[in-house]
Amino acid sequence: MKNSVLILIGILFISANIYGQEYMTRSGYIWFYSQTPVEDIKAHNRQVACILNTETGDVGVTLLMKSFEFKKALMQRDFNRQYVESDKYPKATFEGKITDLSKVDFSESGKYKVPVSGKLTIHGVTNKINTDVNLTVKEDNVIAAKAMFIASPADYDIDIPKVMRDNIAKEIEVNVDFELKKR
Amino acid sequence: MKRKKIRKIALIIIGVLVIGGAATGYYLYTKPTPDVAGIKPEYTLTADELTRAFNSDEQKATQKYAGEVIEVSGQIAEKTANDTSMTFILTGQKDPGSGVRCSFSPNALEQAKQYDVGDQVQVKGKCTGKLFEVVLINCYLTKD
Repeated sequence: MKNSVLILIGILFISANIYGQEYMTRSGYIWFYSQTPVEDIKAHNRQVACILNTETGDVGVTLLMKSFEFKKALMQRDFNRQYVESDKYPKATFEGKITDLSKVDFSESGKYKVPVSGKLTIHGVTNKINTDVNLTVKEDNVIAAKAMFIASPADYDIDIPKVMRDNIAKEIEVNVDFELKKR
Repeated sequence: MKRKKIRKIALIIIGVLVIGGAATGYYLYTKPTPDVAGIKPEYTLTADELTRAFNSDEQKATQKYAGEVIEVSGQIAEKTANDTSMTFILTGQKDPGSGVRCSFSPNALEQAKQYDVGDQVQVKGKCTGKLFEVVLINCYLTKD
C-alpha cells in the first residue's frame, strides 16, 4: 500500500516532465502544533516536496519524518523512536485532488479557496482527509498554497505513553505553506 | 535525642534527592536540540558516495545515515535562497546526477551567501534520509 502510494507520487513527478502544467516545490514548509494546558509543542519541516497538476487538480506531497525539528531534544527523539517510528516509516505522503477545479482560474492572478481531498499516510496508516487550501496565483509562474488541517495521533496508530498523555494533544494542528513553481 | 537527629538528617537527604531528581528530570526534559555546529560528524564522505549509498540500498543507507550528523563535500549545482533560508544542491564530480540537498541553519546563512553555483564546498549537517535527493538539515559550511 505504502509502496503503491510512493510509486503513484513518483509517476506524478515523472509525468510532470512530459506535460507542462505542473507546479512543484522541494522545500515546502509544514509545521505542526500540539497545544495542551501542560505544554505547547511545535515541530518544523522545511524540506517538503509537493507537486500540483493544474490541469487535472492532482496533488502529491511527500516528506521525511526525520526532517521535523523540535525545540527539545528529548521530544525529537521520542517522536522519531516511539511515536512515528521513523526508522520503520521514514516518509509521510499525501495523495489527493482539488475536487472542484471551477473554484480556481490558474491563468488569472489572485486568491482562491479550493477544496482538496485525498489520502494521508503517516506511520504506515492511511486516512482520508478533506481540507480547504488557500491558493494565491501569482505572476511569474508561482502558486502559493496554504492550508491547515487536524490530525489525531490515534487515527495513525500512534501510541502516546501514559506519562506523556497530558502533554500531547489528541488533535494536532498541521499547517502547510508551499510556494510552488512551474516546471 | 539521637533518633530525632537521624530522622532529621534522613529527611534532609530525601529532600535533596527529590529536588535533585526533579531538577535533573526537568533539565533532561527541556534540554534543547543540540546545534549541528557543536557536533563532530559521524561520517565524512563525498556527494557521490552518499548518493550512491542511498541509490543502491535506500533502507540500509537510511538506517546508517538518517539521524546522524555527517560531512559531505561536493560542487554546488543549485542554490536557492530567500530571506530566511538557503539551500544548496551538492553534486559529485563523477556522478553529475547525484544530489544532496543541504538546507542551512539560520546561523550559517551569512556564511553560505558567499558561495555560488560551481563552487566546491564541504558541508556539515544532519541527514534525515532521501526524498528526491538525500536531505541534510541544519547545515554549516566547514573548512577543510
